[in-house]
Amino acid sequence: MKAETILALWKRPMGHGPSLPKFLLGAYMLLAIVAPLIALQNPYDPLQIYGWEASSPPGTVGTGGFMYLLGTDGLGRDIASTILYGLRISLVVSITSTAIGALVGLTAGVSAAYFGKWVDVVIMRVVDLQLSLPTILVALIAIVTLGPGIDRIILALIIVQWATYARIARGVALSEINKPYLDAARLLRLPISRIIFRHLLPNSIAPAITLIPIELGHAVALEATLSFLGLGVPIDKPSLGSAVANGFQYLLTGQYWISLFPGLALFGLIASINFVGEDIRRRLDPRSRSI
Amino acid sequence: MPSLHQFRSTLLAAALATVISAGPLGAAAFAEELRIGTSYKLMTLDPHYADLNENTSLLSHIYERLVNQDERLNPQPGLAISWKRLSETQWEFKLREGVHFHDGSPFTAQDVIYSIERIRDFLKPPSGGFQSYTQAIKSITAPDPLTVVIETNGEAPTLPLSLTSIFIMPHKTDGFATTEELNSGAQPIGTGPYKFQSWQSGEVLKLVRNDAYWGGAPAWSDVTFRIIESPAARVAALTTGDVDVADYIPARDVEGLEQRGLSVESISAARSNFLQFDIGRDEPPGVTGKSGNPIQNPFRDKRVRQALTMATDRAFLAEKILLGYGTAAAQLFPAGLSGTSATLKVEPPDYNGAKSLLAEAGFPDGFNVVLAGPAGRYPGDSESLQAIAQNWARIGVSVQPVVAPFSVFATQRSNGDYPVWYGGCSGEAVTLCLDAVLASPNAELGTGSLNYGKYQNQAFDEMLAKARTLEEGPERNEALARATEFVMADYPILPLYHFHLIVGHGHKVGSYAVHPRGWTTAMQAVPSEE
Repeated sequence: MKAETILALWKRPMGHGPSLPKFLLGAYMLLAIVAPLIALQNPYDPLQIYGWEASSPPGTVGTGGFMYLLGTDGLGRDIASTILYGLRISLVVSITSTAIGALVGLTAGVSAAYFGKWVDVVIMRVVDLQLSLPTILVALIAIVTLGPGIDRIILALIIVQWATYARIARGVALSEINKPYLDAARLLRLPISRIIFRHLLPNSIAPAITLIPIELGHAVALEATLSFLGLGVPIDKPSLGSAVANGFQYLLTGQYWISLFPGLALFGLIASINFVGEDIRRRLDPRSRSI
Repeated sequence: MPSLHQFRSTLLAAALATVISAGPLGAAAFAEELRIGTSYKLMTLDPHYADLNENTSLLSHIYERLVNQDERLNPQPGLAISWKRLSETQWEFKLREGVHFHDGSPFTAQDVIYSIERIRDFLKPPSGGFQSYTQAIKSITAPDPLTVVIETNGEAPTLPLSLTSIFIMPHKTDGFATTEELNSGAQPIGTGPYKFQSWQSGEVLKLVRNDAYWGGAPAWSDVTFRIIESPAARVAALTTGDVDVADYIPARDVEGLEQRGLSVESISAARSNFLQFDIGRDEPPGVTGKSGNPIQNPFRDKRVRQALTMATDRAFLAEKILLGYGTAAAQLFPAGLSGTSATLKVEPPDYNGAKSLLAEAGFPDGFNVVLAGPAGRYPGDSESLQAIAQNWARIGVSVQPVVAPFSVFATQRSNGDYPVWYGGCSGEAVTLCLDAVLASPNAELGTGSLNYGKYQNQAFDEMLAKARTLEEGPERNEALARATEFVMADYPILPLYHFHLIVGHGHKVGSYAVHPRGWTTAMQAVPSEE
């Protein structure tokens, strides 16, 4: 089944879904990677910022000798550069947290299924409890207890995400656990860790994999929400969410560009992740595979 | 629309004039209702419950003080027409004649005694704030019904200033009124320009004109205060015409209001926001050398504090962050208020000079420092930290700005978690802030309550102590100004700005005089002439 999953991803022609989201997502990734090379200003370096050029409209040429293509924010940061750098933070935070969250969640779910008894009860009740609370509330509690900082946000997002994976992985693992190949593994007296990680886990992740792109979109949005509320990234290193928040108070004064452009960038990012994720899900779904 | 409005009010005035043509109404006092949207959440009708603008601002319509404060914070006659010092520990106040409470009873010295004793002897926590003004008072006597003599424990040269905070209630013969009694709907009775009509805690206060007011009939026939805590909702209420006056308008909304034809008035608040340095400890947390190594406290060196001050672009904070609704600060209260210095000026940043000073102090490459502050407590707080980070980077000082909700920030500040932080001070007189922020911490004298950085300057303490013994007046103001100039030359704090108090009003109000203490009252609103 594992091989099938990977094959399914590669065998389907790329032109199956809409191609714009894929292109857009690819472009986002590329821009994030090369941001320091193409950004006209490092918005995180206070020496490169000219405060008195704060709130300049798009197209203004600044002291640095380049044009503020999308204008500057209330502290003089070039919006275009802030978007590029903010993109990096948003992507690093969401990809890291989704990857670790998936790993932790899958392991917990499979372990719950394999060990059963009290291990199952404890893990699954924690999952139930957490899934019954609104995501933003869990994230807020986590951030408030952990304190500020990029690593803390990643941790908070992991805490938010793992439960969904755990529940799905447990369901699949329960149906796998009585299959002959697992009996064989147990009869061979393989170590438990090997049984779980080499045999049970790889065969239980297929449904969970379809979840990853969707959760990634959620993670980007949640990071943006936390940053918008001022609970996320440090104030001098804005992500896309805090870049939107920075311009919020200027919206009524007509300096629309401070919030608008980071907002559009964020919208495009989440939309493309969701479209691509939906495409992946559709291609992995056995029922829609033949269509 | 304006013509219809005008027509209606003229009609109303005409109608009223016909009905009560024999009444004492003057020409200016035509009947109109004033509706004020305020951020001040009035939670009690007890004028002595807590010394907060939330209470005193609204209750000042009903109750009055012996001494008032003008817009420069100088004492002015209120219910007392004059006062003089009889000896070092005795003050005599002559009371205004012909003043009546809303229930018709005359105002006499007994009411003053009752009010002061109620605060000093009767009210217990959680009520508080006013006791600090009365604790110095040993006894109050009334040689005649319109004279009170107050004897103090020690010298109290600023007693009149203390009395600018105390509201006068009518005396009761059967003991003191409790806070519950006053809140439970028993009509609050004072001598003020407006009479109480109705009240819902934290929601609405309705007042009507006191036609028998000693200062002449007040301008508005009815006054309704609506408590609207959210700034955006207050601005919206003003825009849609639901209220005629709204206080604490955010600077960012001013342009929009003016575009809609509403008026905005502002004044520098009697306060300042500043950076405080940890001067007390040898190695405060959050300061490291350029390579991350721990270093000795750099802020103990005056040259470092001076360099950081020179490298801070305060005009930027006032112009760009506060959108012009702020004044760059060089001292604790805005220049012009009594007790402030006229000579202290904010210089434009001098990065080269600052850098060489820093090198002289042994930090040619600068250092790393955490700069902490609250988020959203004061206008421009967290943005200022980032702007200062940009400034200081130019002299090699790398700033890590850290913001937190005010409660978290305040806890961590008192735990000593920060090396430099953003703070603020406000009060009825600059002495309060000089005492609290810059004087050495001294529990006995009650000084240094906001001096979290443990700054100590004995010569300044002595100058301040000397000024304290002087009577309110030019000489004392001069002494305070000299003391301020002396201490600021040592750069104990880095004053940033005095933010402006902004009040917006509609056409019904011709002008509104914003008071630096931040009060919002109907008395400050003058009806438009039309």
